Amino acid sequence: MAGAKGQIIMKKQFKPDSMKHINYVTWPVISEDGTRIAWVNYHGEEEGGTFPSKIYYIEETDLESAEAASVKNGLEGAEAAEAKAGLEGMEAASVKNGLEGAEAAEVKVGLEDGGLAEENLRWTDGRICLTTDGHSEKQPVFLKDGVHMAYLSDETGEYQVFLRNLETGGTRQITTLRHGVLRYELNGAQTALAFEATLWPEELEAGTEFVEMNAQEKADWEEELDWRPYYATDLTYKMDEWHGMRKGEFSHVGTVNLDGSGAQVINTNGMEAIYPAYSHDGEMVAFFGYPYGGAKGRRVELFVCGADGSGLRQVTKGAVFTADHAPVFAAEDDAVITAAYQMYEDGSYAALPWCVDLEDGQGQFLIGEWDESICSGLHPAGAGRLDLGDKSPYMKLSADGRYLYFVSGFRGKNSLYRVNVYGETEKAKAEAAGETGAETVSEAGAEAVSGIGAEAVSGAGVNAKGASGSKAAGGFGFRPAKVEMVAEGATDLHEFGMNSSGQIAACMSSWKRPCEIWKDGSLRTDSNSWLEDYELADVEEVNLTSRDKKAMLQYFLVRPAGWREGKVYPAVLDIKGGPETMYSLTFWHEFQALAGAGMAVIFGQPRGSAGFGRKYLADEVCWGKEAMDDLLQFVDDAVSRGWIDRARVGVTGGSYGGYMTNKLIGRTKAFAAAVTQRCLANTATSYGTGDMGFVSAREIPKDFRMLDYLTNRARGNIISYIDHFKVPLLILHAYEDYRCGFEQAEQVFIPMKERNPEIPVRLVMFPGENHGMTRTGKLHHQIRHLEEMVNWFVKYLDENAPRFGGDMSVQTEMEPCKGENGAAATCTDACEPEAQRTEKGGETDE
Amino acid sequence: MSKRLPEFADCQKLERFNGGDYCEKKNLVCYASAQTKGIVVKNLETGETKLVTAGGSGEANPSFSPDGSQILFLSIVKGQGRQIFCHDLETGENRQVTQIRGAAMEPIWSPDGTKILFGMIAGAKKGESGAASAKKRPDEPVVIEDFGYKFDGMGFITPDNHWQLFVVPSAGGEAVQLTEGGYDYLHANWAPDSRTIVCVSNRFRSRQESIGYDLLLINAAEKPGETKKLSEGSWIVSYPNPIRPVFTPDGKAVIAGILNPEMVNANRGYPEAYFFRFEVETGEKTQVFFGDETCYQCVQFPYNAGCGWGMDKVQISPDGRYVYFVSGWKGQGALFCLDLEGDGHARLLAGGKQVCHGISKVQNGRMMVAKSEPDLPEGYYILDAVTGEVLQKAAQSAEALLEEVEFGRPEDLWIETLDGESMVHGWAFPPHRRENGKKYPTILYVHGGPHPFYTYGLTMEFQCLAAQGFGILYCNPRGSSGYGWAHENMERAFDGSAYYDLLQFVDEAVKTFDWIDGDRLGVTGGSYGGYMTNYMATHAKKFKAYVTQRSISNELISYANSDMQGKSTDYVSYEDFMVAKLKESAVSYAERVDKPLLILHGTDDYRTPVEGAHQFFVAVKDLHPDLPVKMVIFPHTGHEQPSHPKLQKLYYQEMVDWFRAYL
Repeated sequence: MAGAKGQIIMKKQFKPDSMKHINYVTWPVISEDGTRIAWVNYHGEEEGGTFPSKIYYIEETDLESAEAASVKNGLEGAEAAEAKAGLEGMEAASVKNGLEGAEAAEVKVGLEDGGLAEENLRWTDGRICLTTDGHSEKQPVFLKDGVHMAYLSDETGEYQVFLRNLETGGTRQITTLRHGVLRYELNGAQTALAFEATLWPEELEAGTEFVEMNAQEKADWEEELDWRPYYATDLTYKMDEWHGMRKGEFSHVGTVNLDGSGAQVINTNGMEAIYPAYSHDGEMVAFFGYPYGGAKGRRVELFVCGADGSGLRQVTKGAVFTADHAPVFAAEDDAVITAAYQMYEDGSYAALPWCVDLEDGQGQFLIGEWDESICSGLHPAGAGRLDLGDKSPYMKLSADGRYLYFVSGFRGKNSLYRVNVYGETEKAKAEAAGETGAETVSEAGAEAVSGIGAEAVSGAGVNAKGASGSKAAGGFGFRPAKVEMVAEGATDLHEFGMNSSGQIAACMSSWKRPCEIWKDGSLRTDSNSWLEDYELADVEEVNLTSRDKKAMLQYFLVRPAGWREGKVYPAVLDIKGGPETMYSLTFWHEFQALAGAGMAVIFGQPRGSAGFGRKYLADEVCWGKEAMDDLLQFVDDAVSRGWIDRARVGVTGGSYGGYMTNKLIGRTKAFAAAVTQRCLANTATSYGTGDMGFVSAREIPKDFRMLDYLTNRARGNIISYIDHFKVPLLILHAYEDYRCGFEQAEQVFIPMKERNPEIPVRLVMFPGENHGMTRTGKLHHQIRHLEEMVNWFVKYLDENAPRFGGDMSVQTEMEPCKGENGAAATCTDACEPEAQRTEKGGETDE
Repeated sequence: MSKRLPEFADCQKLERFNGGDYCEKKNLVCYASAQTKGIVVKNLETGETKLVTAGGSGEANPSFSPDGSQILFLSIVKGQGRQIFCHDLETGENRQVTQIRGAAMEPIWSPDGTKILFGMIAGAKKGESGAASAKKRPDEPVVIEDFGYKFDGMGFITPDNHWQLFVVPSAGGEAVQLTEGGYDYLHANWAPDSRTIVCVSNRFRSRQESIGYDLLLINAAEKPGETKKLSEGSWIVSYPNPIRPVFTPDGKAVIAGILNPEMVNANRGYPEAYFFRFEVETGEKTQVFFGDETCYQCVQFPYNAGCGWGMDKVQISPDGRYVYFVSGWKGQGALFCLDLEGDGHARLLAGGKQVCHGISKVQNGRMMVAKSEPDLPEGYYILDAVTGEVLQKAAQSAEALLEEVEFGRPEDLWIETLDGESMVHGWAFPPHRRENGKKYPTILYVHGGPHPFYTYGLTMEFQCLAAQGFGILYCNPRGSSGYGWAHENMERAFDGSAYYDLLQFVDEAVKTFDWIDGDRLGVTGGSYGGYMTNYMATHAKKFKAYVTQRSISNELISYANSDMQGKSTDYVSYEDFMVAKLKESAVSYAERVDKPLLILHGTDDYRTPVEGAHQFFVAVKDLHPDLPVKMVIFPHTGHEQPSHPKLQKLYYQEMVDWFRAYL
């Protein structure tokens, strides 16, 4: 890049500790008049390692002038190119590849990032930070009055709901929950809110639930709590998201008026309650409760009661909710839309919007069973991307109640979609009446660049009830409408905010740019301009047919920073967790750090990944041969490009990715070094020590013997291949990981040390962190974790490093020491649904 | 005045001496406890006492200077950690000897009184006081590259936390670090010349040899830190029954304990230990003590000694002829005397229904010992070194409690084992103030180890359970030490022998003692005792309730997650190893548990990791949703019962409530 005076500007190498500069932009909201956008910015604090959050907002006047400026400077092109690339990419990738790809070997999609020039950023001067230093604030919501913003602030110690007058700057505290508010939702008239809060039952008895503690009281209480034992009497007594076990506390829901009066906790008779939603008319509260014990202890059901807690009743029975989202009241308050798993006989499943009639508890999926044309259900959990801080709801109902807008992903790209909640019938009628939503969208599409934020649904004039005369998703013979694309991520849409008139502000990221705020097809913030000083690696997308010809696979190949033709590089295969997650092309510091250290990165979506349709994850392919073969195919394909040294390919991954890392070094000779992160390794000890999986999740056979069960878990277990673990192995594990317990790391380390003493092995234990450490852990831990990984590969993938495993170019699949158990390692039944929760995080009360 | 029954809250009141010393020349003793709030110096002739304190807290480990003019002791100084102080008995003045960053431990006068040797957890490099380093974050990740990376009670071992040796002029001044590296230098002692020290160290061992230690000689004078390995190929006694090697008074030799080499590699637990004499010049070693039926070995592994903290277990007479030591013998903690000019067999000096577990230096034919009896807490006694006769009680702990509370005594019971190969010795502790003819619920309490043995020492927990109306049965089944090697053999603790010993003991006890209700029997125990409780819960039919403490449920967890990691290399196939271990694990029989089970465990248990408790709880609860199964996990608690006042009472309450509810 040529500088002002023509000299070459050397860009910096992206290193693990470069991540300390990252600004994490989340929770976009847009005001009713569309002139203001607010969001939350998290930024690591080096001293304590925490990530304080601050609320920012911008006003449209600034935006306009900035746009004017950018147009004037002729810089619109870059922006437009980026947004367009997104749209076109979608067609190319998802439609064409998905269907015809079986034969087409590969399709490359241009992924160049538009980049920003400084002149375009003048408007950022208008960016206003609402949060004072030393405090954290989050979850902003613009009130319809155009004056106020509701938000959470830790001003008084814990997060409480506050109201801010945006004109005067005055603030008013609304809640006084003893341990703060986890999340909240306003009623339709915006006169009251429903909240979720952690409380101890004894506080409700003592009537102190709305009494805040001062600093001294809190310190005393924390000291007392610290010495309290943990009691377990039921199976589901620990969760990784709770950092293990609780000490009596659980989530409660309640309501309070915006003037601070009428605060109450809804009496659920000791049942945990999460994700409350307030009805439009302000009469009802719906939430998810945990009515069961035993192996079903983490199953929720839908509950509803009056706003004062009266008439509490369980609406559903036996539903399988995702329980990571507040129920969404339909326009008439007679039904709620939730996210639930549709389970299929072939073992596959999808999270789909499910509309539940509040009267009879009957539900309808709003997306058809086989509607996988442009997405497969609700948001697949993202992997390999920045994921920190509270996330705004991923589905929202349009003001007229006709369309459910939601984030979802398909073939490696997350976008914004919508579906008509009244189904095909209503849609057909609406079309006949000339009010087609589809047209609205295509019009928006025709405006091309606008992408996001075309007023997808006109707020006025469309009366859903009038059109259909029926309830949302109501009645027999309901046929779901087709899912429609609203705005395609450029290249990845993480979150969106929408006002009553359908204007949308979104958080989108691309390969070289973390999430920023977008509106009307253009970038509105530049929170990570520091990245311009760094040399970031390029990536290409590769689509290819699986070796068994059954699937169209996708992987991405990252070139080392400063890649030069003719040079041969080492590479790292980075396997995502889940496995029911999806990689997308979005900025991720881990890839950049590996590439910055001179290594290629191969990351892909083996069978078992989400976002590729049901067949892609049916029949437990993730634990079988398919996923392993797919991963090896990615490596072979990357190597075939001629610039990767086959003898210097390393492998890494976390959680399921750690499990696969173990598997690949135990069953193949394809890798020269490995880093296994928060891995699952020995399922004979993971049962009962991690938080996943119970025998009684299914009916227990009469002749059940625990010895057989555990022996089965031991046999064919990847650890039984430990004698083949002949590559330098780094094990990274957090001490308070309750998903894949720290004991799993030791179950690899000790036999490795004992049986393969000649092989370098190193275990790094991270105190005080859980399974989510690499995404939400302390800043210094995240940096150290990444440094350990990068250093290990740099050391053992070096040209002159000793090769312990012999010739890595010879791929042979290995048998365990004793030949009889050569079958593919299978993780038993109980692992998967929970394993999926792994990457979602924050299931109940983060 | 009638006394009251003991309560669990009394466990906090039970005074525990933190070391003491005897000065024959001046007829003084000194001792300290948390209750004394300072060092008590007592004139044995007049009975007068005086309290010495440095104004800090936690005064401990007092010892008289060789000339008897001063007392050194440890005291915790706010903001400075644990420092060494000296009190001048003549001037009455205190002086702070050390100004170290960290915590001084086990200070010892040099024989000439000019220097003080002490230990401290410190950095691998001299001058780096790693443990107390302010630069590092408290949540610094721990790098693990070898075995032995954690230890119960200490947490994760890093290069920054090893037991290093220091020497400081007793007049005060700069402390010099003598040792370094990621190793421990333990049980150090001075040579008579005050220039050299002997210590026990793993400096030349691999991490995998977790009980592998050598004797080292280290220069503490002109070439501080110069090290010479004294023992070659011997396994010097350290964990779990550490003894401090002693120099002969002529400085020519060191007397130290060695683990029976035949047993070291046989994976049969901790081998018996015998005294050897090592020539300082040549390193040549000679066995000077041989076990026999009257004294099995030169160390003692009591499960419930209740005395002797901060005191040495081995002493040598000033003339160098006699070695005094404690050794377990049929439930007694007995004091033995070995004549180095004799036939290598030791003579019982003081035995009986008591436990003796600490000995002061022998002076002019006298010594002070720490002992405890079934209904009498720790006391310090002056003994005649020839006859073993008690000349005077020097100090009694917990005097106030003794006046207030009534303690009971157990009855001995010996049974022949079913296989006829051994005898099991144990006790039946009846409920306090039991009524004749009434039958009481009774708890079998299995000790840990399995090598420790139950002694005659006062055990507050039994006293309190008896006060709650429970009988307690406890015994030393196969695997327990103090009854000869055939009985102690580790294999017998796990091959079913101990299991049947325990059941047999219960049967015989029910026959012998009419106050035991054979239909209301429960089992509890910690560690190995927890392992056995789990084994009984999955195999036995006699019992109605179980409380398993810091237990082992899955041998694979013990193998990889314990600080005493196991061994898989006996198996060619790792898979076979795993399958074999699962077969031996109680969790594999979880479907057989049919009586209420309470699991008690500490979060920071590195010996029998808490993961085992989690897995056992989940497995039993998973298969028996309607059976009362409960787990209580105690924070800030390692491989032990919690001793913190905030937790101890809760802990015992859980146990008592469980047995009360289900017996």
